Amino acid sequence: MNGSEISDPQIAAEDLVKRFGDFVAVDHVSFRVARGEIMGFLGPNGAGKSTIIRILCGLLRPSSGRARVAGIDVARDPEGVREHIGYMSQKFSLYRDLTVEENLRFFGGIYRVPHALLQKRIQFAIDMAGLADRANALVSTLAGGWQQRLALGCAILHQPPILFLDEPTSGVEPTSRRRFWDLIHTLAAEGVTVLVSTHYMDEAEYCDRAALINQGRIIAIDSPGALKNTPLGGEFLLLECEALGPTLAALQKGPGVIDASVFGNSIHVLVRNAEQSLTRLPPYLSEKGLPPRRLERIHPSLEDVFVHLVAADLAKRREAA
Amino acid sequence: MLARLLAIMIKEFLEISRDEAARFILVVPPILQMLIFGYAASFEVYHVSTAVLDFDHSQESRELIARFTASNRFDIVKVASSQHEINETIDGSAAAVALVIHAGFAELLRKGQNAPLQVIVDGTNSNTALIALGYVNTIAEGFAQEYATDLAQRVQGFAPNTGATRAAALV
Amino acid sequence: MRLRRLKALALKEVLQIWRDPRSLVIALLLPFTQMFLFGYGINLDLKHIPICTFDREGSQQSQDLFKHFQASLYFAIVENVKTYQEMVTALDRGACSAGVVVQPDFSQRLNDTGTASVQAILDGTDDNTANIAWGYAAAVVSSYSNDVQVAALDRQGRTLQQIQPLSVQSRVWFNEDLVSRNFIVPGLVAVILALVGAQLTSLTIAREWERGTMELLVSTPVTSTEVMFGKLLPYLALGWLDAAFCLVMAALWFEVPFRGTLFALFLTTTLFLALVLSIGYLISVLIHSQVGASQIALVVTLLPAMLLSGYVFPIDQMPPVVQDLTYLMYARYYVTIVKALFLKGSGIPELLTPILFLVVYAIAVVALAARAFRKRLT
Repeated sequence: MNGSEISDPQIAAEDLVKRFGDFVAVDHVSFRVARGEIMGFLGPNGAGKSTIIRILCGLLRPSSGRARVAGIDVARDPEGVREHIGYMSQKFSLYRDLTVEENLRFFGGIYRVPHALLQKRIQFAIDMAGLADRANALVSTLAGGWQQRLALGCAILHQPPILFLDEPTSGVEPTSRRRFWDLIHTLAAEGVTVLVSTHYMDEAEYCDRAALINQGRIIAIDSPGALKNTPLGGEFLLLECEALGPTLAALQKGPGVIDASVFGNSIHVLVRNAEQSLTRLPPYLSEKGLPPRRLERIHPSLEDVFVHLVAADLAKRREAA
Repeated sequence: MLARLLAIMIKEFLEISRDEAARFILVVPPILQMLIFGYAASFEVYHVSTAVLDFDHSQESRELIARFTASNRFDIVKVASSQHEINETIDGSAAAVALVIHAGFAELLRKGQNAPLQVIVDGTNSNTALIALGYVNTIAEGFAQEYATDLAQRVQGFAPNTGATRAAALV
Repeated sequence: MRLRRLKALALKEVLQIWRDPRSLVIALLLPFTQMFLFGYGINLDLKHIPICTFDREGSQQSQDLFKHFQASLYFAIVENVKTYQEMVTALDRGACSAGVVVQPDFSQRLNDTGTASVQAILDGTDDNTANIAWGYAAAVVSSYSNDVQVAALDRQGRTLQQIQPLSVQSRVWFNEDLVSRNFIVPGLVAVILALVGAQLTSLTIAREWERGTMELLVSTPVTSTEVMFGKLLPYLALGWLDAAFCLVMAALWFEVPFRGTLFALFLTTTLFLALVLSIGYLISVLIHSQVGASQIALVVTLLPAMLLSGYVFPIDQMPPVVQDLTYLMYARYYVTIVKALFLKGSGIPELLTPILFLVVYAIAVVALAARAFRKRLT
């Protein structure tokens, strides 16, 4: 569901392509985002998430295709787009040698926030970031989570209708991540359209819709719930055991097993029929001297979906080639 | 230790040889700079821009001026017709040296009296000014010598006691 | 161009400069040390040139001649040699820069014919010293010659006027004492400003790219002109601090006479500073690494400014090809201007040509920089 049914999209990409020499970073990407919607871009590093965002911000010129942000064509009028957006880049890009307040004041001036409003907006940003007692601290002295929240504050001083956040939570510890997402939700509730990219699959749960991106292509785009229910041609089992390596190897040839892969300390097994495999796998493995400690059916996670979809996509391309 | 040193040296050579920018920087700028700066950095004094104001318009005055031109050290860039023009020329840096010959120059010479040559030098670059002044004096002395000898020969038997002169050899 | 954004950019730059000790050191300490080093270090005035004397006659007159050399401030007799070989050795060794030789028949020729020669042998390896020593030696001999003549004429009851056909009356304008420091120090100010100016701004853009702040900045409505002026204005103030310091030092410490108007000085210096800072800015735009930008800034400014700007080596003595090249050397115009302001007391009308060159240059560089600074990543 790429949102083509949305009549008044805040963000609309149509067949977007970006090439760097021979390398295709963005490969015919199309989607739409409605007002007040939180769209998540999920995918590994190098998938093209940042590139798409940069194109939408007018920072990169698309090789072909069109994109409109706030109704403005980004290729034709990149400057016009900038008044309407807030942007957080992947690499932290506030001024470390300036204080919290000086950074906010700077961006307030850059976005020409009216003087009467500026002090209130700055205070709002400081409170939102929880930096009330650190307003005069140099940004270089702040820890990662605080810096990210401050960067978000700088991006919303001028109350833009659309926010582009490029991996805002990378390298930030989990509680700070939660806190950050709470902020995004508050903003979205006020009608701000947010496009967030992340390589943490679990963060997709926080989005209204998520697009799975791999090698410059959107391989799936839907609400998190719908994505998790993607038919994968099988059912998932969770297996815990002693020796991961040998068990994994053995499972590949196991009865009714379609695929098996390691997830953390356990193995996710994709089987044709869960009931059957639950009974047939333990003896099969015990025979090989690899009895499982635990074996149960699980609902596929987004990561499972992603891995499966990527593999399927790869296979499809090889066939086409 | 020597083996390690050698290994590092070889690695450096390999890296430099594969770095196009480094290869360029090692060759082109030094050659260019040697050429340009080699020619630029010189304290020699040739073709000094000179202005001339000749009120006398005599053969002698023209002869004197000709000697300056012939010396290769001075280039006449302006023939002025008034002191004001001379002042302007020096002020405006159009000439670095000005030669002024007043009316009656030739007459003084013929009478065997002392004739003055006025020289104005732009002292802004004191180094060139000093050297240029040296050349002016040499040329003037040369003219004076020859004129005096010439005059003496024409006035029979009179051998002027003109004192010592100098000859120099550059080592 | 929005004033609000310009102010925000300029304020940010000021805060960053203030909190970056490295920039401040370059800005303030460097000119100070350079002025001292080069102001005192480069001195073309020659005094006490070491010479050897070779008196082949040993008469009253030859002794008299050498006394004249001894008395001169410009020479210092370091050795009296007895043979030509010794003199050549002394010159080779560098014990002396010149040798003065009086032939065995000196006084005889003087008394008989009225003309005798004095031989000067000059070490030509430093042709500048040789040239100047030559001139000085001529002057000393000339003075001796005068004395001889006056004495002779006294005996004959005549005056000098009747004998010497031509006398040179020379006047030196502008640098009357012919002190080399007077023309070197003003030129030095120009060279220092050219160097320091370019260094200051060469880092500014590159630093933002390297730190990642540029990516955020270009995503805002800010225009490239605003970025440029927002950055240049604070550096202009800093550059003015430097310029003021150097100029005051030139006038008060080195005692170079200042005969121009302060207004002309202010106008031309501001123009030159704007140009020099823009050049550093252009380098910073073109080269995204701080180290690279700083190096290029140095290479492009240092040697050319010192050798091709007319600072020490006069441009009109260079081969025509090289002279044409110096038109590209922007420092040359300010060198001309500042020397003229100090020593000649020239006004703006007289300096119109170099000023116009500076203006054209500045416009070209600013236009180039504005175009080169792209607000896109690719």
